[in-house]
Amino acid sequence: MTKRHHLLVAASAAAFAAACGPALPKPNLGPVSAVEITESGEALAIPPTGITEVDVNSSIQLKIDKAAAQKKLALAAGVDSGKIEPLKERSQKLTKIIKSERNALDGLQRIVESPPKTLEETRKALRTQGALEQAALDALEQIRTREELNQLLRNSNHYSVVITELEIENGKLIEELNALTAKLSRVGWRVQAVLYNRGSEHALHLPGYDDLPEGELNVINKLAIPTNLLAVLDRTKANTAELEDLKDALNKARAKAEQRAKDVRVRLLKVAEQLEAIPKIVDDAKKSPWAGIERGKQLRKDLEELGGLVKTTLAACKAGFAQARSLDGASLGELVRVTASSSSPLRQCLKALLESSSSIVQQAEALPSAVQELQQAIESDSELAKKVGGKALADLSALSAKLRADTALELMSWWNAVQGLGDGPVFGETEHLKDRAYSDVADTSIELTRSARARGDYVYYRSASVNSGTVTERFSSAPLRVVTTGWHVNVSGSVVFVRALEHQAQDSDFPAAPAATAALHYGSRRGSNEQHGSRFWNFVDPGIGLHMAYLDLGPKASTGDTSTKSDPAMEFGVGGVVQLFGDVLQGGIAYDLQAARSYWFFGIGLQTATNFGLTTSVSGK
Amino acid sequence: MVIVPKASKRAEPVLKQLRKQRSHCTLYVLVPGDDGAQIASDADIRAENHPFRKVAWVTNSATLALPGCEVLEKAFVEGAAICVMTFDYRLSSTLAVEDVDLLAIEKAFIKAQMDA
Repeated sequence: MTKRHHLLVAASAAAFAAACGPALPKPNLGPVSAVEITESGEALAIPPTGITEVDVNSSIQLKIDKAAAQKKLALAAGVDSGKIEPLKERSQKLTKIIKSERNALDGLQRIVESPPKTLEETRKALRTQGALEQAALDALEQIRTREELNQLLRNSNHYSVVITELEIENGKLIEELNALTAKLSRVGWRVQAVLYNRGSEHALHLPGYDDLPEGELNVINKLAIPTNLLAVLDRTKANTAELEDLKDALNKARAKAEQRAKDVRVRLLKVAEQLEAIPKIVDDAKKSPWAGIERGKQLRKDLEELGGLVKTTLAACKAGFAQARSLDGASLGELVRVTASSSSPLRQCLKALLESSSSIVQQAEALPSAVQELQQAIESDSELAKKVGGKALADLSALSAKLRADTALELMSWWNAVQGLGDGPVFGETEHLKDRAYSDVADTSIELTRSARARGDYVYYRSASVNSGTVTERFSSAPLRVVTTGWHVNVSGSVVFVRALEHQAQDSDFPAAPAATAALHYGSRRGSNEQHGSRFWNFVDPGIGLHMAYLDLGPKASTGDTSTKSDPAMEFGVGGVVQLFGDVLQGGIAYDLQAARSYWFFGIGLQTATNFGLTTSVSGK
Repeated sequence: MVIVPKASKRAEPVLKQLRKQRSHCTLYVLVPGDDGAQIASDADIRAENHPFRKVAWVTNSATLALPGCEVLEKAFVEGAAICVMTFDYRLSSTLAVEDVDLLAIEKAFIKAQMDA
């Protein structure tokens, strides 16, 4: 059965879809760093930016800088993080001193209650008591000046007064610590991860940070002889049978690509709207009373920088946005043409956005913290508060909310829109999350071997400081792409175009057939702090293996045959295959078992075709 | 606090008694007059209710010439305002008047206890 193949259209649709890669959140990991632990136990640091390849059987350790996370949490709680540890240390020291003083006092009481009877007992008691008192005095000298100590010693003829005084001080410290702790008890550290592929996402279990099930251990045996090859072949056949012909498939792919191109346009215009709002926020902020004070200098500078960056980007994008607006209802061809042309304003605009978006997002995300810090500084300094007046605090609160709502979070989705031009996980499942308390912030891990990951999936993770359930600051990761490294067998369905080695006049020209292949490939591994293995090798990705296909070659007509041979009801071909670019291109020689004819073939892998947006390509037998 | 009488006759038995006792470390204030009174008062704060400490104020330096008081006399001659003796009447430490404060007194008492 011969079908017409509009590969050119397919290729253009595929190229367009391929350009629409995964969303790249801004590379702001905050206090989190990641390390891949491979099957062999090797630890490979994951660079903070770009898409990094991780093996299907690896686990990803998420290391959280506890001190940095606690600083973020303290900020979220409105607590001066620099105050907590000194307070704790002071309280611990006081407790130790009080204990030491108590020992000295207890020693005195023991002597009063049962005075030494002999000279030797007296000598011993004197030394023991002297040592206790020396320890008590040494401890006191660590926390009091000579003047303070003289005053303390004047007030107490024993150690009891010293103890009382120290206990009062410690009580105050503990009270202060409790107040801070109460504030901190409302905040928590959140870490989430998802497995993402083309709009579909699944939450991944992170030990200690959610109550999702751990998942069954499923280490993929990369070299296992595929038992599902026939199943793959049947599935390929079934899929291909659903469509009338290749043209339909390509039309569907084109419609999908067109929709995607339209989405890109809509998102670009949304980006324009968000960007255009920022200069106004900056201008309004500059008019507020806080902007005039010395402590506000840095925030003012940061805001101006953000405003400047946005203005530059807007200037570079002005014509591009106008062109995007004018493309309403444009065809795919026109959209592809406009995007591909290096002189098109839209292309220039995309370039400018890609270049500046990371910095803008990063700056915008840092601003709410800076605002909060300034607010705290004003609140804690009555003279400053008096100087700038109550309006300054109100303005700062409003600015903080605006930056958070209008800028940082919105820009995050904008980044996704710009980078992914469509895709990106939303981390939708939140009901299983268990934020960790201030003192319990701990590392965690993504166990890929316990997830339903597959080659080509993406893993996204992010962390956040949360106050009473509301995210106050978020840190996102660059995605990780799940790949198979080392030697592995790749099973895939494909569409092959076959031709008998002894071609006959009645044979069709390269009839298409559904096929399945199992081929041995080698994935180049990345090194520590590298994003990927050998790019060239992994791009060429050659493979060699077994080919099976459902065919319709028909019987071979031999010279001298007086009657037509019957066409077998089912033809099954088996042979060898060589693949290039994964399963994209393949070819080989095989044998049709029923028709008893050898044939050669070439074809394309359905896995890749599907990745490019094609549902399927030919009808099967 | 033991105030050593000014008259040698009356001072002698008191000083002797202080030398003989074996239950306290004794801090002798060797300075007479108001300065001596102040130092003795401060020292007494650190000795009061302490089972091993005693303060003796020598109100007349001349009494230091009495027999048995040679160590105290020597310390006085060398400029000491305070002389702290262990429980068995050995010299533990001395302090000049400008070095005397409550912390110095406390440290001197502790040293004498440790020297036992």
